[in-house]
Amino acid sequence: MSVDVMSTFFALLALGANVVVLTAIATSVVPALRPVRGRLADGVRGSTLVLAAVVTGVATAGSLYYSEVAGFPPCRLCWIQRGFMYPLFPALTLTAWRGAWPLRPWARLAALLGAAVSVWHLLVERFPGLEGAIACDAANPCSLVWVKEFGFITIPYMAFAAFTLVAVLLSVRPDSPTDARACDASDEPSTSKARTA
Amino acid sequence: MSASTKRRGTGGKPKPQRRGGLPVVPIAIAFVVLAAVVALVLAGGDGEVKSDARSQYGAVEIDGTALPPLAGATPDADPAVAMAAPTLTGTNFEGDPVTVPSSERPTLLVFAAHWCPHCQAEIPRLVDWMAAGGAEDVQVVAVSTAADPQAPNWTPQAWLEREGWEAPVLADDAEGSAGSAYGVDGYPFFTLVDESGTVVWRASGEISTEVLDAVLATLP
Repeated sequence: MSVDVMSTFFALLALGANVVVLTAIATSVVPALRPVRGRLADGVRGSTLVLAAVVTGVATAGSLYYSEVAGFPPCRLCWIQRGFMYPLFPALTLTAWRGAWPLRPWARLAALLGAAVSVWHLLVERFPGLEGAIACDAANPCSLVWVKEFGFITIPYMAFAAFTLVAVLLSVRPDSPTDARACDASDEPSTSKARTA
Repeated sequence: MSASTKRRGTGGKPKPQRRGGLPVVPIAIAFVVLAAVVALVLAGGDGEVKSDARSQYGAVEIDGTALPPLAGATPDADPAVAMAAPTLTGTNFEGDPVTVPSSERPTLLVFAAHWCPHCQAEIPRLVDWMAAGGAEDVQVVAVSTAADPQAPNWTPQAWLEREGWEAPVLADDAEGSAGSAYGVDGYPFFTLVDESGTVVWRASGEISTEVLDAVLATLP
């Protein structure tokens, strides 16, 4: 499997993650879309930890693919993003399996911090001067763009997509409807009753 | 089945159906499979062959003592200044012989890596500067170094041609011997050598043409 194929695949996954995240944001912001939000949340409720673990697993595998198979050496900012992403995979996997640790808020925080680093990395790619240097480190500058799919999807963009998707997934309440107010007029006001039944 | 759904089913009056959640997980799995298929279709095939890899490197013969790395020193404190510059004998991308520095006039060597964004910013600046006559009294030579077929903006030859670089080019070897001989520790890297073969000035990083003008003005 060539690097181009894998990069296109990862880029498509990143776009898919973008769609989910943007949908989550839109359905939270636009009142008319709140019923959709409820249905989406119902669709993943109970699976969010597993899904988040899968996302971090794919992101970790993709990161290792680029460094160990494709031969793209990770830069300093890549390593920082790895520092946020890699621990999430076993932590979320174990939590999804054992369900014991109150990991959710901390994992979400780690994902958001990772996303912030990804944004900074994207800016450094676009404006190399932000790296605080006027020369490329002979070894491996953070401004080096190894992959660019569809004209804009680079490796930190993929990381950003994964981090934000994990954050959104972990924002879905695991044991209750996202928001009773999300039900539209045709719904029974049954969600809270069901919970107490 | 949810509790609210269980409560239904008795009584004759039709009751509103509670909407179930969207089948997000099956949709996600289907999307991943679809992405894999699309990736294979879009980027599959035999794979891009990194052609011309060999011609992007050249055997470089080095005559003289290697210069020490600049190592962040300011040009004023550069230990290589006043040292004899090593002579590099190699070829350009077409295989034509190139020898630097020139013994007839001062030579400005510009070590550039095709993947380096700072080099990508500097080369057009130098092209404009040379076109405006800024380098009339000096021989400018680009040394294509640190070439990597896996890195972006491959090939260096296509890149320099695209930028309109018309000055001579020396292709460094795959080990970056020419760069090492001049103490290159960042890109782009400049070395100004006078006609006697003595290092006058070195700098690492993007340089404005005003600085280049000022440096060239110091030449006798």
